[in-house]
Amino acid sequence: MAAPIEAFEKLALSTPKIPALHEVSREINTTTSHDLHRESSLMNAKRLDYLAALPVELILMIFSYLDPTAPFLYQSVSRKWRAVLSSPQVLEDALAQWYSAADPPMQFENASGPHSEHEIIYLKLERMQRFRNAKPSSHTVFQTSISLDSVSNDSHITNLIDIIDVAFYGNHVAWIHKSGPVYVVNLRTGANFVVPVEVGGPLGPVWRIYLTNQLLVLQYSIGKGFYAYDLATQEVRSFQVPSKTNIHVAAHGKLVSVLFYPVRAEIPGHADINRAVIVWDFETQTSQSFQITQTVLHMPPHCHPEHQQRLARYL
Amino acid sequence: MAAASTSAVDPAKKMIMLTTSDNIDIKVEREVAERSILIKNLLEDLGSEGDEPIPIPNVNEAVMKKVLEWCEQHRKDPPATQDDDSDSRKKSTDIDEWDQKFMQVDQEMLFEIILAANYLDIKALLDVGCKTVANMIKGKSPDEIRKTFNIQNDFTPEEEDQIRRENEWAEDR
Repeated sequence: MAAPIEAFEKLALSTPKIPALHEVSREINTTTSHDLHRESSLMNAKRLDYLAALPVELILMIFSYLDPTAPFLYQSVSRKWRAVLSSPQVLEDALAQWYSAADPPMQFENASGPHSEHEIIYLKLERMQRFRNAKPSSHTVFQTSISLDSVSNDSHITNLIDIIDVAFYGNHVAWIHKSGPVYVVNLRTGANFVVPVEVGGPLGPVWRIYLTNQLLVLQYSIGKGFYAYDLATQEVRSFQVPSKTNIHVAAHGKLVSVLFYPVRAEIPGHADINRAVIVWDFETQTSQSFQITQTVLHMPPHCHPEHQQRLARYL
Repeated sequence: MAAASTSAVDPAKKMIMLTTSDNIDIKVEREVAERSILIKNLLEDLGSEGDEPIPIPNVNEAVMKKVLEWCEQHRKDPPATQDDDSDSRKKSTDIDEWDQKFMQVDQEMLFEIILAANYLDIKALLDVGCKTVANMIKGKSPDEIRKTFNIQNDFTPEEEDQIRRENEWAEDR
């Protein structure tokens, strides 16, 4: 035991001893550090800061239950807390509540340029804080996380009129640009992709889009076909519906449902109104359909045909 | 009933002996002691007899008794699953009522329990301990933290001010 202590004492004054101590403490295993802790708690009797004396892995565990900002908030408690709480391990673990390993890497993580571990932690924290405080000024988010220029030269959102339809779900936002393509952006990670829509194809331009937590569904203005993109894998699948007019579309998870409502020139006073629903499953690529039958009992007898028609739609 | 009395003792109910760091022997049912993965592995390595006292050099009698009290209460809990940590997001700091009462001890004991749970490898107890400390920290200002944990502020006012300014954004909630 004496030899290493002597060696440590002999370190020149110019040699930083603290980093050396840090090196040593990194080598200490749980059992040894527990022994050390017991030794030091005996020396310090009752006035010990028990928490800061815990092995780092236990401090990590405690702070993983606290808000990701907690390690920063408590750095001003004492020198010891500052030393412990500014370690990248603590910060990373606290952030793990917010960003999981399953998340796609953020724009800045694979961008070229020197990004240290430390810088990435701060960028993540900054984004998290902005997201939570609902202050993601669109300027900053779009400027830093998405480079639309790299995707297409004419894709700048300079005017809202350029956007035909927008859909939101969870972290995702998608929009149709009038020039044709559909953009999908994960606001949290900045991950984005463009759906390569064939402009002037047989289906015509994309007219409406629908988002779920898993799918982006495209409805076209001419054809009866629909396209669905898996947001995770970007796999694309399509399905057809019998009619493209008078439909209402809804999507949930990996299911897309289309409701067809009848429009007739004349609605007889006591007619049955049938509505068909098709539910298409992205996974199995099969669809099921059923009918909703509703008997109209009290259509006003002397109602203008146009009003009757409108009423019938809502019934 | 007579047949039952002659049959072998249920191995789970078999008593084993633990020797604490202050050289005290504690008798405990095997099933209770085996909440500790360290003891469980030791018993398996030593063979199923377990007649020899098992030395626990890092835990004293007072802490060991407290830990075994917890093990007794949780003796029938299902073992923790491997994928418990797979999604670390949104960790809850909820603690069930019995555990909350159990953790109402002085700070020295609380941290001793955490260290013992870590050493003895009792994950569920370690979690409860860490959650208890997390709840003591939650929502407090740095100054309140110093009071709670009896910490001396060893910064100069200038340094403290500097650090506060650096981390001001974290308070912006």
